[in-house]
Amino acid sequence: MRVKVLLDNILVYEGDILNIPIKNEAIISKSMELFGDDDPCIIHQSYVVKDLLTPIIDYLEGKESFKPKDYSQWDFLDFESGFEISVL
Amino acid sequence: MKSIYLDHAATTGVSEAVRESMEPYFKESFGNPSSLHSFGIPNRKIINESRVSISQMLECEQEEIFFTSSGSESINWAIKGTASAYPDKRKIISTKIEHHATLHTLDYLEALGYDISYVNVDEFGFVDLKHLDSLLCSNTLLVSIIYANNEIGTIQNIHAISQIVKQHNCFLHLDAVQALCHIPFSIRNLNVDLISFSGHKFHAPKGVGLLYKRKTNRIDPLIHGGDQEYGHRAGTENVAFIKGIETALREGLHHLEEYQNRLNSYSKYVINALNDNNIDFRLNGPSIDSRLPGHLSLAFRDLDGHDISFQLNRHGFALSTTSACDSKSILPSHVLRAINVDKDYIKGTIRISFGLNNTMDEVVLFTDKLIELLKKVH
Repeated sequence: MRVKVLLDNILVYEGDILNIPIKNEAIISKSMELFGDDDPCIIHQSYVVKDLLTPIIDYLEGKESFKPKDYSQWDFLDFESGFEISVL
Repeated sequence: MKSIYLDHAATTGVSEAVRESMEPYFKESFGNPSSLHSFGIPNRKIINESRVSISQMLECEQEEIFFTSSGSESINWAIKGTASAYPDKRKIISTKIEHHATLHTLDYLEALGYDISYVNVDEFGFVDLKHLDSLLCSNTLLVSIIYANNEIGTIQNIHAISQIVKQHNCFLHLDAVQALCHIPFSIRNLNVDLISFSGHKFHAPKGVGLLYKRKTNRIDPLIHGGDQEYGHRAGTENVAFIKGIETALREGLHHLEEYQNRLNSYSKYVINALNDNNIDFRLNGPSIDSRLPGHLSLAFRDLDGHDISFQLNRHGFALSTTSACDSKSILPSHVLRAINVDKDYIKGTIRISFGLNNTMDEVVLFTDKLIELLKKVH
């Protein structure tokens, strides 16, 4: 799924949703939750990223865009609050 | 959501009969088998009887069976123990599609100065017999071959391989971890010198394996200490797991024919359904008739096997991308690279390995979901 991310009408990301910028501490935190591992290998990191992004991907199925009401829920994404993700 | 396990080549669960057979040895029958009292003596008898039973089922002699902690230990022991016992010969031959237990053991020996050669395999993973013959020489100590491949399901023609190896008076070791209880097995008919097995691939617990060693051949121990296992492997025996692997082997061989037929029908169902739905895919390894029952390595064009596996797992289907032990690397597996899987397909590989307890209803559910996901991404 290719997406673009706008923040205050400025393009901050465009590409595959699985490559969207995610905060490193969020990956480590999720890796600890899933694997008990604070130094995940590349395959575990890739799994963690998919797991974090799944709710957004599910939401975007059949929709054009995603603009959260509560940005604290999505603070693992490496963007400032106020972003909007659109499907390309 | 019910989870459906389709990763039996990675491991299997302990069966109820196996669990029951092991239970006494965790609690009341805890004695050391080497102790000469009422706690130890019955456990010595259990080990001896299990060894006799296993040797009868596998058609060899009881002193040719050794209990180990895993398939990896058996493989390490077979290769390093033979190399140590016969130091005059310094060449070992294997393939590039072995499990890492073999490949990394050979790397270790190569660093010690051994000459390691790899025989070619074809696009299905079958050993090139002419190449094997050309590699063998008077300095060759051992040939080590994976009997049934964990990643692509290829079952080697061991009779043909053995015939060539024996013409050159070399030892032949088989990694039969994926073979036992999945295809018919008789050591007497194979004419090999060493065979490694792992219990957890056929419903025994993790942590127990077997090594067959022809009694006329020497092997040096890996683990030194007490006189257990005819003085060849020190350490107090794991009575519960030894009883467990004996029970699992008996059960596995009992229903082998039904198991093979049923799992082959599952594999054929999946392949036919993918073809009927015009899915662009390749079956890595040979056709259903020449591969492990219920084992499918499927490669999908321009897709990522990890993504497919992740999505299927979200819907309750547990399967693998490559062998479980390979998960430190995100590169396509060494086995898929060795058989030259097309570059457009190699990254889109998933491994499905059906097992004893899977039903046709589960196979249909899985296939429907797989096809639905594939159609969506295309």
